[in-house]
Amino acid sequence: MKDQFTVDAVCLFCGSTLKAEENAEFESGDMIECKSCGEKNDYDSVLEVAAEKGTAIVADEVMGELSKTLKKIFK
Amino acid sequence: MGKEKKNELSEFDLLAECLAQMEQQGINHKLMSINFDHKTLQELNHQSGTNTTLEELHKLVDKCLANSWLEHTVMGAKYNELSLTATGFGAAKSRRRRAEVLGQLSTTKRMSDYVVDHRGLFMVFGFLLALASFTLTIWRYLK
Repeated sequence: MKDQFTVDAVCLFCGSTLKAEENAEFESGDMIECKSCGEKNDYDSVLEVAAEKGTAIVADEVMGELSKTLKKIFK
Repeated sequence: MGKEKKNELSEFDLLAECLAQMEQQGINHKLMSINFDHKTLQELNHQSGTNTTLEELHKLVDKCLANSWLEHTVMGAKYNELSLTATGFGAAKSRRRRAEVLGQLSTTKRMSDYVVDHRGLFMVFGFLLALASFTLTIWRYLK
């Protein structure tokens, strides 16, 4: 099973990956501008969506591994 | 600049209405459920001063469903029992924050932002004005 998972922060309006300058730092309450559509995204909401996506990816991986393990046990 | 005059509802008005209902009922987006029917349409039109029809409202709901801002909570009628997704909730919050920030800007700042946003247009006007002045000067000289 993978040790690391990467989730991109995406624009809540157009779905493009949000990009910022290299040394940019954001904190709760900030608004991040999407370079594709120009909309401003609430930082906390972007994190929440990314966290939900990440949780779903990890859950899928775990279920996959569990399924493989159980198949081996009951072979 | 200033409050936009609205002729019809936008998809973001629907998201804002969902957010407002959530706050009214004290529930999060996973527990909320909204029907986009005549009653909701009446409320939306009354709040926004618009005259949107049910068919137009449903087209806006289709947009929200396509963008994964809304989702069905149960299998049933297409425009009933809908809730905000995490993305839709974020989009609604972002729009609300944007409106709050815009409302807090001073008139000077808003004018400055307007000029920056439309700088291309102002450059064209400036060029045309310069061209007109130049043409007038040449014409007077030749006269």
